Amino acid sequence: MMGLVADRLRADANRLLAFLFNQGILDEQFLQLQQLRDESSPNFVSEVVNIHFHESEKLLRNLRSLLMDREFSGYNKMGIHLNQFMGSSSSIGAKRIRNACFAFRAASEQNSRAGCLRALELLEHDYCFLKNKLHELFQIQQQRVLAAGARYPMQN
Amino acid sequence: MGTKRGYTFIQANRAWLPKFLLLWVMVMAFLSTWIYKKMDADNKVRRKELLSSMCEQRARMLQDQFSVGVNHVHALAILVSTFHYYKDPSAIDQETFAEYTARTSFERSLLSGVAYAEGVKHSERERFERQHGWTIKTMKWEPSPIRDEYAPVIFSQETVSYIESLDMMSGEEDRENILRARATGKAVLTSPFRLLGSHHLGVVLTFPVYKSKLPSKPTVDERIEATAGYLGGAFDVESLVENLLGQLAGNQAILVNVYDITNSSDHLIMYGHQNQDGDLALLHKSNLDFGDPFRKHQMICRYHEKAPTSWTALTTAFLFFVICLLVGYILYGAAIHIVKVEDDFHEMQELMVRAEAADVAKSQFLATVSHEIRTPMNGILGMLALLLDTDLSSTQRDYAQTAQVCGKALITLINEVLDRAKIEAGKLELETVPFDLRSILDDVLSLFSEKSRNKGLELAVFVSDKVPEMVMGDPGRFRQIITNLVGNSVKFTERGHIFVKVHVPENPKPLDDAKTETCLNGGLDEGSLISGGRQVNTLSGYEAADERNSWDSFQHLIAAEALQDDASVKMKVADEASQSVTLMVSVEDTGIGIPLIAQDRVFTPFMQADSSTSRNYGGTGIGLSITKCLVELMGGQISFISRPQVGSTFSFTTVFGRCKKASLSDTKKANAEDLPSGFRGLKAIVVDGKPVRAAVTRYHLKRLGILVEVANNVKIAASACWENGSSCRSKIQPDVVLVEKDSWLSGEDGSLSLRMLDWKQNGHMFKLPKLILLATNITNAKLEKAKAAGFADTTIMKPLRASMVAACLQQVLGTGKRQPGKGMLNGSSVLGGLLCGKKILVVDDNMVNRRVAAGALKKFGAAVECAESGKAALKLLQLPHSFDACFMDVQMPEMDGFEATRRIRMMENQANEQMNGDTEKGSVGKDEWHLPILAMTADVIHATYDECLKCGMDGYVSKPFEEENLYHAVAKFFETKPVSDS
Repeated sequence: MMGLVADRLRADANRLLAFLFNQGILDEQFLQLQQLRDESSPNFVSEVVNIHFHESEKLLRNLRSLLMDREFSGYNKMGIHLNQFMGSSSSIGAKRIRNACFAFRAASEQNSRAGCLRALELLEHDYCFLKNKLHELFQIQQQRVLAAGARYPMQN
Repeated sequence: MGTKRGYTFIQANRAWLPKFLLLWVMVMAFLSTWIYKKMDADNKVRRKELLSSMCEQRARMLQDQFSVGVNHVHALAILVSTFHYYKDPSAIDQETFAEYTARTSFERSLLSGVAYAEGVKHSERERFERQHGWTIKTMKWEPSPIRDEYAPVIFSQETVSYIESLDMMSGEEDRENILRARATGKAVLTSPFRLLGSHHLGVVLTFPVYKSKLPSKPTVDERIEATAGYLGGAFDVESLVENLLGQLAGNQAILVNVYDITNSSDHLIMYGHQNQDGDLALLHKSNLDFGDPFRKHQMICRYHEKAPTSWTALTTAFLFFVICLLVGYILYGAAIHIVKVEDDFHEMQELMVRAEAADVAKSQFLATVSHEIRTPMNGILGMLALLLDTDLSSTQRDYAQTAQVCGKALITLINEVLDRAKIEAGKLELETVPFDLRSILDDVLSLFSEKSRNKGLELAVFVSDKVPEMVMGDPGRFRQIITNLVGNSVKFTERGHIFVKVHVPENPKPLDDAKTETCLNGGLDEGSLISGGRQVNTLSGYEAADERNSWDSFQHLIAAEALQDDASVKMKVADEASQSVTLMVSVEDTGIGIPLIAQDRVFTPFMQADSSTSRNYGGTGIGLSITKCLVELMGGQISFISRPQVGSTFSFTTVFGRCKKASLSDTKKANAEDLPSGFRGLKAIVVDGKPVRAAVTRYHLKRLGILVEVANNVKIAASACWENGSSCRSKIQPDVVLVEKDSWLSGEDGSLSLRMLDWKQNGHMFKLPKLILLATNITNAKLEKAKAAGFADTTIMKPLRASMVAACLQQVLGTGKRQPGKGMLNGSSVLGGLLCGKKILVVDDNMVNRRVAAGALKKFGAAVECAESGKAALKLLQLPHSFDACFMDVQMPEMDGFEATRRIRMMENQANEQMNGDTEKGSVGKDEWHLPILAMTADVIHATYDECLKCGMDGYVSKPFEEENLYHAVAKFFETKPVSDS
């Protein structure tokens, strides 16, 4: 019975991952990241991702405030923020976010405020989406760990 | 205007062209008119000259004839004076005179007649009349009235006898003449008048006859005194001139008039018609001197007809004009054509530029699209893999597997298209890294082993010993080429073999020699005619398209190698001196071959031999074109020989760099799958009836360090063993006997002898050689049989690979334990070994990146510290520090990676200088400070790499860490600088 639950959880996680890959939200880097998980840091992925979310929220806030500024001139600063955003999202393999950042940067390089605003909205949307999905994934994984833990004695 | 492309003069003046033409035509018209005028003027001058010369000629002749006549009359005058007056009595009478004059008239052809008139005074008239018996008459035949003087004709030529007794003085003209002649004493002419008798115009010539001799200078009175009479002659000018002109050529052409112009206001005509029409425009006057100074005469000539139009001049001018017109038109046409051609050319150029742009765009589009397709495909494949991991019903699994296979095929195709596009766009760059060619070939073979086994094909590889163990080049691309060719061969071959051969094409000449040699004595001694068909000495015995791979030449190759091995080390040294090595690779199959008509377009992309090929065998036909491109990129050429229904042999050459010895040892560990060395010194006998196959087997065994002998069949092998067994142990004692399946089957009775051999050896207490069966594919029944026949030890399934053979041998000989952990030498464990215990600093402003990098490095056992900015890093790296390496992000706010590195290097330099100072003072020297700094960057284009090196970094890793990259970057430092301070 427990085995079935574990299997279902695994299938769920796989389905979710497949969905994320399919939609181009994540890429291989995320899988690589998962491989870095070992006994010493079993929650490595979620840890990193949480850092990423934390950073990202800060960056998004900054970007929004920059864009909302009345005499708007912070394209340069925005570029730096975006570079950071891009760096961290490509590290965790958040492909769609990275692409959104590309678009954002292109818009900022063209000094188009409307474009920037559009890009920012897209970015925020993507970010929220990813955040929800990843949380979902981590939850499933957590349950899997629990299930596996519960299953362990049965095997012996 | 300057931007316009190089228009020629003609192009620049295209609007002027018709005007130029018009101008030309006008100029030419003017010119031809001028020519016509000039020629016409010439003609006129010539005509005038002709006229004047003719006129002069006529005038001179007329004058001469006239003067001849005058002279003669003069002579007559003297005759009369001599014989009539000086003699007494007179010696002349009328009869004499008439006869004489008649007989000499030919002398005076111009004179119609001559007569002598005696001067008679009135006082003497009566006496005179009496004497002659007639009265003096006037011109009108009337008795003369009384006058002072008379001049009656007394003698006359017969032609003019009618004037006898006529008084010449009675005619106005004659009288005047007589008086003048008397006064001057010379010949005197009358003005022209109608002569008596004939009605021709004529003049009368009168000479005075003197009765006594004159003094030397007589006065007029003395002359008159002495004059006795007058001799007269009538010149018939008209007939004279007529005769004269009749004698001359060109008589018809000109019109001659002769005038007496004594009275300058009234010209009296002597000859010709007064109002005769002729060419009035042109006339010539010649003066005539008839010997009478008182009278002047003139001849006027003109042409009968007007000057004819000068056809020559007209034609010449016209032709000239026409020619010039044509020339002008031709030039115009040419110019127009040039303009048109240039226009077309420019248009073409533009089109070409557009076409090229379109081509580039196409390639880029292909590359982009392929890339874009690849990305989701990766997702699909990854997910399919995940899906297959889940619990699926068998149907579902089947579906998923099918999808995965299809996806893989698709991604292969996409990769090929991408490659092709990349090559076309010139974006494909080849790497130059050391690699082991043999192991790559083994890999490729293993890739196709399953398929070939299923088809029952022999698949074998042979690499000549002269091919260096490690070469510099692009292993991936080389593998791609081989995979393509072998894949094709496998696809199109149903029986026989596929044979990959690599050698160094150094001396083709001995090959030829060998060939001719075998041609001379070939075939017979081996009895190669086996019932059924021709047995060919190839790998599988099937005929191959290219005979070069047959045993004859192959044998020679091996022989040459053996020779070279023996020869000397010099050769090798010489070989290694050169920087590159050219390899000749051939892939031979015995497949369906390529139809002759399709052989031309084999290397054209998307062209398969015929459309049925893709139906029967699948594929897009892009593989060979990519292969060709790759081979050419590698500096080689590809060609093939193919005979339909016999097979094809593709051979290509590539140029690889030689590996430097120093780096060889490093890279070998990393790249090559290491073959176990535990078999060194073992001895083996290979039993195989086919020499090529035996050679291949031998090659693989040799790579393992096994000494090999080849026996043609079981019996020979057995006897070899037997001899070894029986004789003393100095001879080779085989540890292993490898028997080819065919040999075993053909000599099944030989199994008995093998058994016997076993027994014998057992009897002699020798170690039993292991028996191994080599087989391409074998049924279970056969396998059982083989086991029964003594091949209990193992069966090696072909295609042979050194590593597989090694594994089998290990299994058989039990030598496996000798190399513990050999197979562990790749993957993360290597990195682990390299990085284990190292202290590494990771500098990145991005927390996530930092965390990931740290995680990755920690996984390899390194101790990681992090810094979030260049400044922090500098602080941590104040000397002395204990870090072994530093990974530095390039893009950081405040102080970027380049700047930080520069500062670190500066610090190190200072410290080193100080330290050098110290060492001079005698303190123990330590290694110089040099912290390996590796850039971390997301974009790995070369410019960035160069900049990294410029500011003192030692290398770079691309940002999402990949194990392999990390390994390559790190290996340099921790290998070449072994344990300096740990």
